[in-house]
Formats: sequence, C-alpha cells, structure tokens
Amino acid sequence: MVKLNRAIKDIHITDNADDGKKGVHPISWLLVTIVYIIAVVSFSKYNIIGLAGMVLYILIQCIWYEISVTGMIKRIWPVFLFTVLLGIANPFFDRTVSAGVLSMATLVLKGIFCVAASYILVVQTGIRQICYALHIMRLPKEIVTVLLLMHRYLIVLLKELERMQLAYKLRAPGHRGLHFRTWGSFVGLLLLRSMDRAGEVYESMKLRGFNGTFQMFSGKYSHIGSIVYLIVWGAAILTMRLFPIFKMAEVAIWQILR
Amino acid sequence: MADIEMKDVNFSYQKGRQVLYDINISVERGKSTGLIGANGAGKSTLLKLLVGLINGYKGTIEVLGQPVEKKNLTDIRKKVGYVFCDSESQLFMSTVYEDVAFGVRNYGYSEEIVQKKVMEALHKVNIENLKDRQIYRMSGGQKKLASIATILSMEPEIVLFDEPTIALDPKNRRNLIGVLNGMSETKIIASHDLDMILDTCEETILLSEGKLICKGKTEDILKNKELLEEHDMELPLCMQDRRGK
Amino acid sequence: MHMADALLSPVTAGTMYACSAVAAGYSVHKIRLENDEKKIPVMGVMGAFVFASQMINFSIPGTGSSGHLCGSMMLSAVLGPEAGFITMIGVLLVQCLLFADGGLLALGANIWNMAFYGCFIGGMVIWKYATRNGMSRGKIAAASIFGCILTLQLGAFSVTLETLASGITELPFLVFLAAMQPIHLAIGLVEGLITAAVLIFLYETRPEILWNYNEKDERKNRFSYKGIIAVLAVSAVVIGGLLSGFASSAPDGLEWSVKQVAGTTEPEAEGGIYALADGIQSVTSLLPDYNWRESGFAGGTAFSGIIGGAAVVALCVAVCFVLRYLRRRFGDKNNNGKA
Repeated sequence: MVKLNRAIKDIHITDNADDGKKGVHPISWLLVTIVYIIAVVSFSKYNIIGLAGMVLYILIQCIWYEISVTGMIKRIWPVFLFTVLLGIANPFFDRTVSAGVLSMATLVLKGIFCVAASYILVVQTGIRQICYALHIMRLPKEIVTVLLLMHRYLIVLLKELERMQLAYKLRAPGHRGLHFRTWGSFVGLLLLRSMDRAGEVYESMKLRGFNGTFQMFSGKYSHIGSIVYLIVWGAAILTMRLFPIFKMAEVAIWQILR
Repeated sequence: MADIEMKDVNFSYQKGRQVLYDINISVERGKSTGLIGANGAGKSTLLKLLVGLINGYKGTIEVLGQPVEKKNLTDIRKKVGYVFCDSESQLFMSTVYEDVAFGVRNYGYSEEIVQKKVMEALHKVNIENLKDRQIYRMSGGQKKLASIATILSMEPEIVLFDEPTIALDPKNRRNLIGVLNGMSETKIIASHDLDMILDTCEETILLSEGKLICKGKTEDILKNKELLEEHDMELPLCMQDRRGK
Repeated sequence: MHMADALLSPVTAGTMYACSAVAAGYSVHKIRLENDEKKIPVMGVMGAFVFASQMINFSIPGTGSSGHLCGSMMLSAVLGPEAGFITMIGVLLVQCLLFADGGLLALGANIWNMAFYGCFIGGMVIWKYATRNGMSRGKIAAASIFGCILTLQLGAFSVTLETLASGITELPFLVFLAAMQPIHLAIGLVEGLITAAVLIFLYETRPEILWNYNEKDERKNRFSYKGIIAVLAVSAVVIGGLLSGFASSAPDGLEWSVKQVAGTTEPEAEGGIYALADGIQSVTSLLPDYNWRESGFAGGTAFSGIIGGAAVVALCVAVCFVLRYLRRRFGDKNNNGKA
C-alpha cells in the first residue's frame, strides 16, 4: 500500500515537466544524460577525485533549473543503500583495505550520480518528450507507442489496484499480504480488467481513424539553444572525464590551504 | 432522409446468446434520440453495431445512406462519433490537447488545421483552459467533456453517447446537459438517467431484453408509469411523487 | 534483480544493449508480420498491468514474509513471447526513468536478464512446449513453476557475470554466485507459484486469452498432470543442485569462463578512453604521489583520497553557489535567454 502510494506520487512528480518550457529539445537532454552516465561509469574504480568532480553537472542543473533536491535525494536513497551493500565487500576483498575503501566510495558515487542524472532528465523533459526523442532516434514505433500508452494507463491501473487492495484489506484485517488462495483470482481479475480496458482503448482508437501508427508531434524548441546545450555540456563532460582538472583543483586547494 | 436506418436487425454473440431481436429504428437528421432500457437490454450493443465495432448482424443497417459493412467503415467512422461510457478508456493520450488532436491527425490534416479544429472543439465544451492538462489529473466531469471534445474535433454528423451522465455530480451533469443541448449533430443517447433523457431528447426508444418495446415522443414514454415498470424502469425523479413532502 | 548503472562498465553495458537490441529487433519484426493492430494497445495496457502487479505483496504461507512478481513469464503466456518482450522493455524503461529501478546505461542488461529469459526461454520454449498439445491445470502449473525458476536462475547468473565482467565489485565470483543463485531459486519458486495461480485462473475463466490456446486441442486433452509435476519438480531440484554443485566442485572452470568473458584476469576494463585518460593524467599530474597505480596503496592513501574527493566536491559546491548568486543577480537576463 505504501509502495503503491509512493509510485503514484513519483509519477506525479515526474509529470510536472511542461513541454518545451525549457526550450531545449529532449534529444539534447537525452544525449547529454547518456554521455554523462557513460563518463561517470567509465572512471576507474580508484579515481575518486576525478569522479567527485562530476558532481558539478548535477549541482549546476539543480541550481539552474531549480530542481527539488529533496525529491532527488528520495530517489537516490535506495540506490545509495544498494551500492553500499554491494560495495561493503570491497575493503575485504580488494588488493588492500584502503584500495577497497576507495573502490567502494567510487561505486557509491557512481550510483548516486547516475540516478541523479536520470532524475534530472525525467523531471526536465517528462516521459512524453523522452518518447518523442526516442521516436526521432528511430526506436521502433511499436515500442514508443507501448511506452506512451503504458505511461497513460499506469495511474489508472495503480488506482484500480489501490481500490482492490483496500477492499481486500477491509475484509482481511491483519493480513500482511495477499493470501495465497486469492493470488490467482486477485491478479487474474486485475489482468482481465486490464484486457477489457485495452479492448475499449483499441475501439476508441479505431473509431478515431487509428491505422496502426501513432502520429507524434513535439512541443516547441529552440533549435540553436538545443544544439548549443548539447555541444557545451558534451564538451564540458568530456573535458571533466578526459583531463584531470579536478586533480589539479585539489592540488591547488591544498597549496592555498598550506 | 433518415441519418440512421435499422431494418429487422437481429444480433447474437458467437456463443449463441441472442441480444437483439427484430429491431427497426430510423433516426432523422439533427434529432436527439434517447435509448433507454434496463441493464443488459442491448443498448450498448445497438450503438456498437452502428459503428461496426461488432459485426455479424442480420438485417440491414444504414448510416448516412451507407450500409454498415467492412468496406464502408472508415467512411462511416469519420462521420459518426462515439462517446464511451468510461472516459478513461476513451482518453488514451496523456494530455487533453494530444487526445483531441489524435483523430484529426489520423485523417492527415496539417498541424495548423489540427490546432484550429482542436481549439474549436475545446471551445464548444468550454474547456479551452484545460488544453495542456494531464488527463489523469482531471475530474470525472472534465474527462467527460474532454471525451466529447475528442469526438467533436472530427466534426461528425452523428454522435452516439453511451451513459454520458454516469458518475457525474449534479453540477457537472447539469453542465453536460447544456453541452448536449447545444450540439446540432444527430444524437443517440443511451442512458438510465431518465431525467437527463427528458431534458435532452425529443424522441425515445425503449428496449427490453433485446426487443424494441416502443418508440415515440420522450414525454409520452417517460410519463407512462405502467410501461416503464413493466420493463424494470421507474418514472424520472422529477415526475415521481415524493413521499414526505 | 535490477542492475544499477554503477554496476556496469560501458563495454559490458554496450554488449548487453547489443544483445537486447537483436532480440527486440526480432520481436518487432515478428509483431509487424502478425499485423494485428489490436496488439499495440493491448501491450500498452498490459505493460501498465505488469507494473501494477509488481506492487502487490503476496504473503507466502508459513514464512511470514512476502513475495513479488516480475511478470515476464506471465506476460508471454498471455501476449506471446515477442509481444511480451516488447512490453517488458516498456516496463523496464518506465521503471528506470520514473522510479530509478535500474538505469539508462544498465537498461540493456536489465532487458536481457529479466525480459529475454522470461519471454523467450520461459514463453517461447517452455510454455510453448508444455502447451503444444493443449492445456490443463497441471501443465500450466508445471510450465509456470519450472519456467520461472529456470529463467530467474539464468537471470541471476547473468547478473553475476555482468557485474564481474564490469570489474565493479571485489566479491569473489563464487561468493557472489553462492549468494545470488539460492536467493533467486526461492524468488523463482514464489514467482512460479503466483504465475501458475494467475494463469490457471485465466484458463478457467477465459482460456482464449492465453497464448497458444487452441480450443480443438482441449477436448482430446486429458493428460495426467501429476506425472508432469513430478518430472518437473525433480528436474527443478536437479537443476538447482547442479548449479550449486557445479559452483563448489569446479571453481576453476567457472573462474576461467569469467576471464574469457571479461577478457582479462583482472576484469577492470582498461584501454580506449581509460588509456587515453590515464595517459593524459600521468603527463599532467602535478603530484605524482597521487598516482595510485604506481605508488601502491600505502596506509592512509585511501583516506587522503577521500578527503581530496570531498575537497573537490566542496569546490564544486562553491562554484555553484557563485553561479546561483550570479543567476539571482542577473536573473531576468537569464530567464529571457532561456525562453
């Protein structure tokens, strides 16, 4: 139940993106995010200084576009725990303990940065615009259409499930989950209802001239702005990845402090 | 000329259960016709037959002069709108604008014309302000109006409604009745909401267990207490004696 | 079983993307051949259904704990393997974008681990084989349970391989494997039981929606399912036993296979962008002491490294505060620029 509510809330959060408000084409957003994630992940597992510097992208995006940090932290938290759990073995199994601590720290940082970058992407563009970008990138129309419809019916079915669960709970107080005797009928009925719903959706599409292809139209974007965004961020991320500028910065910090 | 003609229509689903028996109906251009009957009387089936969502009927059905056959379906569907009982199924895009534009785009209009038609349709049901709203954030009444707009944007000649007032609060219902009365298209409205039928339809058809019981002026049928009760219906609330008053 | 971006190296992630892309390409091709317009909306809504059903807590009798559903086997039993696979791609993409389950880079691997095995091995091989002469409750149950256990074992094994090939965790292969496989045996069993319950319910209420259902077969089909259950239960145990037995008796063979996959004995990917970066780094490095690779790992190096990292983060934060100050100061100008 808690999980369900959280999911519904999460969908609401990521739907706040107004189309085209940012003026940057979703394809630029998507590409920059992918470049960033690849750059982050490709850092060697002991290069914590260089990796730490990649936080710059996240911070600048958060400040520039006024992205909610609490929302982001909520999103990051499970991944943080997960990577800590997975990396906890590193200090014991790596070449030395300190190497293990380093590799664990980079693992956790990588996890945080990647999730944060995806979060920024989704909050800034929204699923619909990402679908549009995927469509332009020649992803098969079947996948894009399924995504769009799925996104539309997520909330509908989650709410339906919420009602069913509530009805179940009210008549089965104290149950921690679904009793195994009702597994089949509970989920099966939800499935049948979903199928019926799909049938109606299809009829409704058919009656409005659907012939197998979804027509996609984008919001309004500044083309120059999108290109500039892509080039500037792409170059910045590659620079941060390829040149040890953060190492130099770190040295400079110590020099000044001394 | 009648917009809709059904002659001796019989229909049964594959499993053998007959749903409609010898239906003869004709609906004239510009008229609003109510379609009433208890649950399972065959109202939705009748509406779906008109747009070819189900086929395999016996008899003849003509819509706008064209027989309802596979080869005519594209043409017929272009001119006949169908407002589903459940708006949630009707609205499958994520925002109102996208949904209302869906049908128009499928018929290959340029984006300028699409925009014009969408705005006109939204204007007709007074929800221009909801243009960019996410569908799942709308109330039931708003969704119903948006569903009607998705149909109106295609400029149909006939609009079929399946239980349009279901789950609407009194204010939204009143508003919807206003919208329905403002539409000049030929309409068939299937509903249990007899008060709404009384407010919107000149003529009414009473179905019971798949048979056409009678057809005539709405007031005549809805005042006839015996007739209605015989077929598991009741007088419209506004015509009932209220006890304790 | 969702893998996070951080667990994969770009090379492994790219490889898994390529594998999944081939399977997706094949599926799309098949769906287009079928040319059933209705399939697309059904896939969309069913994707949402799978997503919703993953939110359900199933209480497991006698344990007090609860299980969850992944759903790819169930989906293929309803939509068919190809449509099921494409739908699962949608599910995983939405999970990664909206809920940070998995990541954009790890998507290819997640599709492979969770959707490919479930849909193609579970659906196309096991389900199709089990129901080739018609369906019965027993066959459905056996196919579901066996299919889910097997596909989850395969998935878990792939997760282990991919993680190790990426050189992320220092966990020895066998430790990791020993942790992953038994857990997923249990998870697979629960998933199998749920899937069986749901599919049997569908079979009894609306059998025609099941994939590979053929009404004609149903009349002649009265096969003893107890036998099948016994056979499949035994084979599940044998497979489980084999996997764990193999893991303990032939460690060298498995380690060898990881080396083959990873390409090096130390599966830390080097070369390409790394080599270039390290090259530049060693040339431009101001303090050679900070070059971990050469100096080895003296005590406290990690500590100073982390302090250094923190200092860099602090610097970045400072830069950003300046940026924010500037933005506020010249806010109007920036906003105009954005619009």
